[in-house]
Amino acid sequence: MFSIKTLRAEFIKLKYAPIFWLTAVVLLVMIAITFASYYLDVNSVARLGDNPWRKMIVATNGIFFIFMAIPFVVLLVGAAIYIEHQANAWKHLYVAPKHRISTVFVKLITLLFWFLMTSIALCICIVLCGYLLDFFLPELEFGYFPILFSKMLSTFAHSIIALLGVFGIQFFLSLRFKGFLLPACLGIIGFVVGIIIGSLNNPLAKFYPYSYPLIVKDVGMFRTDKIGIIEYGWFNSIELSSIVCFVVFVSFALFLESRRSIT
Amino acid sequence: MPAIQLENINFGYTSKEKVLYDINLEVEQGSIYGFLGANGAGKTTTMRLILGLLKANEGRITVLGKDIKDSYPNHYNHIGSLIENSSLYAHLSAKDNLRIWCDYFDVTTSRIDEVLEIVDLSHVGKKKTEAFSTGMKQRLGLAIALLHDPEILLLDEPTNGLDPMGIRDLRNLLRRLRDDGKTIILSSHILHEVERIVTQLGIIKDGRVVFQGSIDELKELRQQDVQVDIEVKDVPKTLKILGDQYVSIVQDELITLTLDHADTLPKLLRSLVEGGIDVYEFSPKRKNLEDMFLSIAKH
Repeated sequence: MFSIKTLRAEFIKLKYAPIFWLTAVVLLVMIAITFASYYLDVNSVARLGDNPWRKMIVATNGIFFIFMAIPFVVLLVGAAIYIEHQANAWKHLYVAPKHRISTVFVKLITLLFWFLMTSIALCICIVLCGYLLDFFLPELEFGYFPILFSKMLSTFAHSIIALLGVFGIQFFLSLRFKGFLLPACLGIIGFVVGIIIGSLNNPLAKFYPYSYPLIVKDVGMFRTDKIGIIEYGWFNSIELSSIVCFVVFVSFALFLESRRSIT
Repeated sequence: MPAIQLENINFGYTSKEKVLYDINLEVEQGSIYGFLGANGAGKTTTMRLILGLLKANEGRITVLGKDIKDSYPNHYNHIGSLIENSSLYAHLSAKDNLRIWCDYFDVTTSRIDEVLEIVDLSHVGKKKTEAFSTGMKQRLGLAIALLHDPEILLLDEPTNGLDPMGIRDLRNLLRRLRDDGKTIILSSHILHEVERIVTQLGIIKDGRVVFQGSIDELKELRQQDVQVDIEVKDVPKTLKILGDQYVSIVQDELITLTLDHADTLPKLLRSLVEGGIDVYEFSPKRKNLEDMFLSIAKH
């Protein structure tokens, strides 16, 4: 099912591809937003005695997963699969001595890995940003308090799991439609509708995967008390729905690919 | 054991509309099989069926004696393919493109330089393929097909976009590959591009194989239905000698006859000379292979 060599092939394809630059731009934008928001409004963000890393982790996570992660996933998945459509490569990929399902599955793993690496890079950027702020604005006390790595890991993990549903849907759409625009447009429409539904504090949001990253954890931007999220210890019902959505759409995509006629 | 065998293959893109009818093909190992037909005749569909990119509604396809359904996906180790245009990642160099396929086919990267050498692209290995000409892209596509050193090569219209020099180079390359023991299936809609190198021919028309055999068998067909122009002064006497055994058209002093077979020509000429006819011109007009192909493939 899984081959390290084909995983390497997938990464070669992403070399110098648009998503390579897209990732770099997203990370730079996140650093710029975080740094600017602290630097320009230092009086309102400085809380003497509070660990500033906590607020920075929650705020950065909120900005990224509410406003940037879904468009990023839409573009990441769409662009990576469009590389194959554009090169008309399916007719070659599917005559390699690998099962079709394995070939497509490795692509999915590559994209998930890429997203995970982007999230880790974002975490590193948060740390660097904190130290940079400490250099320019020592009164924020980033250098005084310890970095909350466990908080960072937990916050990002919840958001990543909540995003899996969208990942699955976009993976399915990008494989089914040959062009780049249609799945991307559907994804962006889904994202906009997701923000509206997610911000309404309405139970409907439980059934709409594009809202999940907004509501999975209360980051202080939207109220989520009336949605009816059930907590199962560390885990909650939104994360469970996201995983189910991911499994359903990915399974459906793999099944259809295994039977698809390459014309 | 044939390299590739198709038995009673029927296929339609929809259940209502069939595009291939009872296709039976047998490609001998070590041969260059020319698969010819007009555009839309069903060549590419047949190629895609052999590769498993499409699934036949009925029939059986074997590669080196094994049913492709049973040997999937391992039979792809024995087949290299270039279907229509080559599939290249334009933002990557030729070497990176080949490196990708090395990973898919479990081939060591040392093979990259070898195949680039074979297709004469060593000097542009680091160049991005978006800057390649159509001919270079086709050659790189061929390099990808050769990467895992397959016994069988399926090349669908490989001369597309090639200039005459490129076609000649490709022809020489295919001869070399055949000499190395490869079996090559080559589709084209232009006979003269392939007639000099193929050892076996299949002609497909409207989804049906209408001719299959050697190039000599096609040439034998060429001996039939020969036309001959005869210029004589005494047309009535000539027609009397000829009798009604030939179909003839008379225009002034020129008689055009249609013969069943080229073997009749010497007898015909002898009878005219022995009958005292002064023959000023005697010119048989045989169909060339292209005309033969067209008459088989189009009518």
